[in-house]
Amino acid sequence: MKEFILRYQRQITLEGFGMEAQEKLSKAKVLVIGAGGLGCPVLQYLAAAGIGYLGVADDDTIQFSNLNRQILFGQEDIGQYKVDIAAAKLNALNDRVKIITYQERWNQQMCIEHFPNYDIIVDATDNFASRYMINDACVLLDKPLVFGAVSKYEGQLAVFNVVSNDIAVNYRDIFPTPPKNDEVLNCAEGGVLGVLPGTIGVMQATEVIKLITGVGAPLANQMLTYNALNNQYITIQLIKNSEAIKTSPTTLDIFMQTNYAHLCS
Amino acid sequence: MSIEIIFFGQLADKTGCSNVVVDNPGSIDTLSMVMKMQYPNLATAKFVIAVNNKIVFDNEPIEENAKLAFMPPFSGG
Repeated sequence: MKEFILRYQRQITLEGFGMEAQEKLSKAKVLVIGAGGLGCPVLQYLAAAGIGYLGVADDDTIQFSNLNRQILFGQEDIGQYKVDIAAAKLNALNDRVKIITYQERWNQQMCIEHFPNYDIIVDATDNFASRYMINDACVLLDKPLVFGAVSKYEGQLAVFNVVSNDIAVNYRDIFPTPPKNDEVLNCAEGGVLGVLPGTIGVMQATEVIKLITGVGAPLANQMLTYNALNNQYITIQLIKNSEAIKTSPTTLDIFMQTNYAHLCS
Repeated sequence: MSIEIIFFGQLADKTGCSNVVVDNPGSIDTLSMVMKMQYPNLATAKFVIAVNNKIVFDNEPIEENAKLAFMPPFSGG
C-alpha cells in the first residue's frame, strides 16, 4: 500500500483525481492492438499510470526502421517479437501491471473472444483492414474505442462508441467505407515524423485514463486533428451518418463473414 | 464573399497547397464540383468536409466567411 501511494503520489495528489481515480485505474482492463509507433507510448504511459490489466497485441518483429518512433524497443531487440520486448519493458517499469500478450495478427475471432474481457479497446494499428474490423467489433460488442492514426506530420484522435448527448458515433460515421489502396499512402510509403505517433499515442493514453476515471470530458463524438508543422489543433464535431448503417455489419455472424482484407484493398 | 478551405494530409499534396481562399459557391455540392475542377487530383481522393468545425454529409448551404476542412482518412500507426 505504501508503495502504491508513493508510486502514484503525483496523480493521487491531483485535485479531482485522488485515490478514487487511482483505484479505478488499477481495476481497469485495457487492450492495445498494435505495439508500433502509437502502441509503444500508449502502453508505456498506461503501465506507468497503473492500469491493472494491459493486453498487448502484435504479430510483428522489431526492425531497424521501427526505432525512430517505437520507443519501447532498442537496437539489441532487432528481430525479437514486439510483444515479448514490450512485456519485458513494461514489467520492468511497473510489475504491478498484469500484462497479457497476443503474438498474433488480430482477427475477427479474436475480437469476439477477447473484447468482452476488456473495458476499453485502443486502436494502435497501421492499416485500414484492422481499423474497420476493430471498429465494427467494438460497435457490435459495445466497447469504447480510442482511435489514433497518423500520416506524415499529421495525426487524428477520436473516442468512439461512447454516448454523449444521446449519440455515440464510430469510425464508419466519418468514413462509411474504406479507401481503396491507391487513395491513401501508408507510413512506409509516405513516411512519418518519429515524434508524431508519440504525440497522438500519448493523447490516446490520456483519453483512456479519462474514460476510466471519469475525470474531464473524453473526445466522444469529436475528431481532433493535429498538424506538427504548424501546431494546428482542430476539433471537428461528428454526427451520425445514415450511410454507416448501410455499410456496417449488423450481427456478429455478418461480421465474421466480412472479408476485411478484401474490403480494404 | 469568400470562404477558407484547409486541406489535410495527402489532400494538401494533391492540391499543392495546405489552404486556399475561394469565392463562396453557396453549397457543399457546388463546392465539391468546383474544387474537383480546380484540383483534378481531388476526384480520386477520399475525404469528408467539415464546415466551421462540424462535419457535413448533405448538400448544405455554406455561410459567408466559413472555414472549411477537407479531411482524408489516415491509416498509419
